[in-house]
Amino acid sequence: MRGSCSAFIDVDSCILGNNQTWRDFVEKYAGVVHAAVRKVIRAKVFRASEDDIQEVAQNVFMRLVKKDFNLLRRYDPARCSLATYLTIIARSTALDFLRYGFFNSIPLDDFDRDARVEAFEPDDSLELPEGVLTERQAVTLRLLFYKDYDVSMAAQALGVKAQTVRSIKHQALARLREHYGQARAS
Amino acid sequence: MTGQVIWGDFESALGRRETALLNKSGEAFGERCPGMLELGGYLDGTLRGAAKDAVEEHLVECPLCRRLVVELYLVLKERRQPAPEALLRFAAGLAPGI
Repeated sequence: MRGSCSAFIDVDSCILGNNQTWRDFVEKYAGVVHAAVRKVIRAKVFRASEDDIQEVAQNVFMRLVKKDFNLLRRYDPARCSLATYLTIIARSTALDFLRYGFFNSIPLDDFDRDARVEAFEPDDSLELPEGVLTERQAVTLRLLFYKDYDVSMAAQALGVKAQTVRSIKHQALARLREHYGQARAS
Repeated sequence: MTGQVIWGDFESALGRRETALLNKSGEAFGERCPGMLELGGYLDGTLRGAAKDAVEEHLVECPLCRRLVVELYLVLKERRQPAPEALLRFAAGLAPGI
């Protein structure tokens, strides 16, 4: 597996299915991806296991080859270096893992959201109240409001139909209104 | 009551993308925020000239992007050790035909 690799990686060649070029790409950039994932995860979870870090890093590469290397096709060297591009994708993947506990492999373009979306972390003082929502309701609301997904995107991420997402959202908001209404009355 | 969350506050939190911070000029933060790739290009030196100047001018005004730039900088400069063999094998095996 380990061998010499060219300093310049022909991304187009990877996309066209050149196995050797893909191996060279992996050898050159796997360390970049792994380091970024480790940095992001350990910034939030001090004792994160190497297994979790590796699993997230593997998911990064799965995202890269998904839909016929769609993410690599979209790489534009005029915007940033390839190492930076991969780092940002790795960061996005790691944050998804930390926030939602599962890998959201779609949509593929959510790593380049504008800074306003990235910077708006959930407000701790207004966290979803404990014990009011089911796990699925809480995840759905976070995808719709914190991650700013539309219904179809949330449905794909959760593996359910769009109507199911609408129902879950409606039920969750009804529970929250009831919760806060009771809290105000008491 | 102090500390009590009312539904209005929560609705506001859920719809926080509509709630913008205002800078000194009364302009909403985030309306002209660059994307992550642009910030990455700024940090790695890809952005030059007017594009780079525009990002720097924006960073002066936008605390959200400043925070992101610092975070991204720390991730980009993370020392890279050789990737685990298991990751290399897994990733190499993903390409079609392998």
